[in-house]
Amino acid sequence: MSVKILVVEDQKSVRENIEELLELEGFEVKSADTAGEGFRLIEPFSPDLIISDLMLPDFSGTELIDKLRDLEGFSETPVIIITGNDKPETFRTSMSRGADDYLSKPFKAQELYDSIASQLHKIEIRKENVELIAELSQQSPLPIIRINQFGKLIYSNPAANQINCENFIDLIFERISSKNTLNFDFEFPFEDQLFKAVVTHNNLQGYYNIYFLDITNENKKNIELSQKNELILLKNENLMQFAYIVSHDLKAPIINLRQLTNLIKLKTDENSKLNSPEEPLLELFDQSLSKIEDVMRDLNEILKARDDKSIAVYETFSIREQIEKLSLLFKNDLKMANDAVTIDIDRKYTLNFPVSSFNTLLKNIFEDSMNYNDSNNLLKLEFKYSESEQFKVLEITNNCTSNSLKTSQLNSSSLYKSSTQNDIEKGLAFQIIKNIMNSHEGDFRFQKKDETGCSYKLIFKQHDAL
Amino acid sequence: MTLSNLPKNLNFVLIDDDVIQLFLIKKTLNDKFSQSTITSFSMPEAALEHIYTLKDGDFENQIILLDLNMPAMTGWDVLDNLKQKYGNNLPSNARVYILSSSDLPEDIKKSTEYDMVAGFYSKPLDKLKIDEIMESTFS
Repeated sequence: MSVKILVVEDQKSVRENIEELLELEGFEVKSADTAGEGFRLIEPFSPDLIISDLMLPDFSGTELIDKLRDLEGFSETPVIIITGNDKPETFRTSMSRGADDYLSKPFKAQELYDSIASQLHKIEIRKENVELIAELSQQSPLPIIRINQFGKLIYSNPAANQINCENFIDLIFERISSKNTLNFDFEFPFEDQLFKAVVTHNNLQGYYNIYFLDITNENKKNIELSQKNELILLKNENLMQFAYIVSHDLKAPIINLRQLTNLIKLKTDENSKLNSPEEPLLELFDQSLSKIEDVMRDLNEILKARDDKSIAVYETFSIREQIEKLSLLFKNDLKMANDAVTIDIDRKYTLNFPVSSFNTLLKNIFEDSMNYNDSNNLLKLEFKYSESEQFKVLEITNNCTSNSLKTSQLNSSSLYKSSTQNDIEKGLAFQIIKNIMNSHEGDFRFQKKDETGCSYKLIFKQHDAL
Repeated sequence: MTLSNLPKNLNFVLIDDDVIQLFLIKKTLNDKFSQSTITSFSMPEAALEHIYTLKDGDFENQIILLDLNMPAMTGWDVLDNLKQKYGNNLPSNARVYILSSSDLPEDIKKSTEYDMVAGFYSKPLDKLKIDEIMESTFS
C-alpha cells in the first residue's frame, strides 16, 4: 500500500510542482489550496504525512497543526511546513507549534525527498515501538491505561476491564491536573481492592500511562505486619521486664543465700567435732536452696530461648525499614552529586527484602535520580538479584565503568520482554522505569552482566538541556 | 601467674548496692589477698567521689569491681561518668570488671563498648574468677 501525502498550498504552480514530484516517487497524493479544505480532507483521505504552506488564505499552517492534533487518530501525523519566509523566528515558531520539519521555498526536489524519508522513518520506528509496547501491555496481567493531555482515554489493555477504568478517568485526570509533577503515584481504592496507580508522562507524545499495581494484599499484610510488630514489641518489653526481675531481683538474693550457706557450712565443718544440733537443719536449708536455684536456672533458659516465628516477623518488618533507609541514602547521594550522578564508589549494599518491595525500591531510586537536571547527569547502577526461599537478594553496586551511551529505547523493551519470561514483577519494574526515563528524554541501557540472566547493569544519561 | 608474682599493694574498689554482696566479695578477696586494700561502696556516687580524689599514681594496681543493676545510678552511669572524666581509659590503665547477677547477652555486649572494661563476670565471685581477673590484669 502506497504512502498517502496531503499537500496544502495556495500557490497553484508550487502545489502542482510538489504533486508531480511526489507522484513520481509513487506516493498517493491529494491536495488543497486552503487550510480549511485541507482539514476537511484529513479524515476521508487519512494521510500518513502532511506538507503544508505556512501562510494560507483562511488560516495558517500552524493553526492547521493545532486542529490536526485534536483530531482523533492524527495527533502524531507528521507535518512538514513550507514557507517563503526563511526568518529564524518563523522556523522556531513553526517547530514549537508542533511541526515536524521545515523547508524554505524555493527548495530542491532532493531536500523534499530527504525530509519525507526522515519523517517516514520516524513513523516506522514509532509504529514498531507502539506495536511492541501494545503487545507487552496486552499481555500484562496488571491493568494499564493511557489518557491524552485532555483526559481522554486512548488505550486500555484487557486487564484494565476488571476495574472498569472508564468510570473513573475523570477522577484520575483531576489527580493528574492537581499535581505539579508529571510522574507520580497514588493509592486508588476500587471496590474492595486497593491499587497503586503509577502515572508516567510521555513528553514527546504528551500522553500519560497509568499502571495499576494491585496492592490490596500487600496493604493488608502491611497492616497485619504493623499490628504484629507492635504486639511483638509489647511482648518483648514485658519479657525484658520479667528477665530483669529474674536475672537480678530474684537471682541476686539467691546468690547471696548460696554464698552465705556455703560460709556457714564451712564454719560447721570446721567445728564438726562439736556435732552441732543445727547441722541437719542446715542440710535441709541447703536442699531447699538447691531447688530454688534449679528453678531459677530453668527460668533463665526459658528467657534465653527465642520465639523463632516472632523474630521472623520482626525481621521482615525491619527489612522494610532498611529499604526506606537505603532509598533515603541514595537520595542523599544524588543530592550531593553536582556532576555525574553516581553512588559512592566504595559502598556496596546487600539487602534481603520481600519480593513485594522490589518495584517500590527501584522506582524510588530512579525517580529520585530524575530530580536533578544537570545535563551531565549520568546514573550508573549495577544490580544483581538471586532468589532464595523467601527473599530476592538485590545487590546494588556502582563500580561499573562506562561512558555515556546513546542507545535506542527499544533495547529496554526487548529486555522487558525477555525478563517477563521468568518474572512478571521484574519486567514490570523495568517497564515503569523505562517510561519514567522516556518522559525525561534520556538515553539508557540495560545490559546483561552474565549468562544467568538475572544480573544487569543499568546506565542512564540525561539528554543535554536544550 | 602465681600469687607471689602479684603486686603487694593491690587496691580493690567494690561498687554494689547489695551490702550482703559487698560483705561476701570483701570476704572472698580478703581470704585470698590479706594484704590488699579493699574499699567498698553501696552508693555509686560515693564511689565516684572516692575515685576522683585518686591521683594518677594511685590508679596503679587498682581494680574496680562494678555491679550493673543499682537503683539510683546504674553501673552504666558509673562507666559513663568515668569515661567523661578520664576518656576511654583510666590512668595507669586501671581496669574495671563488671560483676553482675545478670548474664543477659545484651549486657555482656554493651560492656564491650567500654574500653576500660576488661571483663564481665556473673556473680558470685569465686576464687576461680579472681584468678582470671588477676591473670587478665597483670599478665
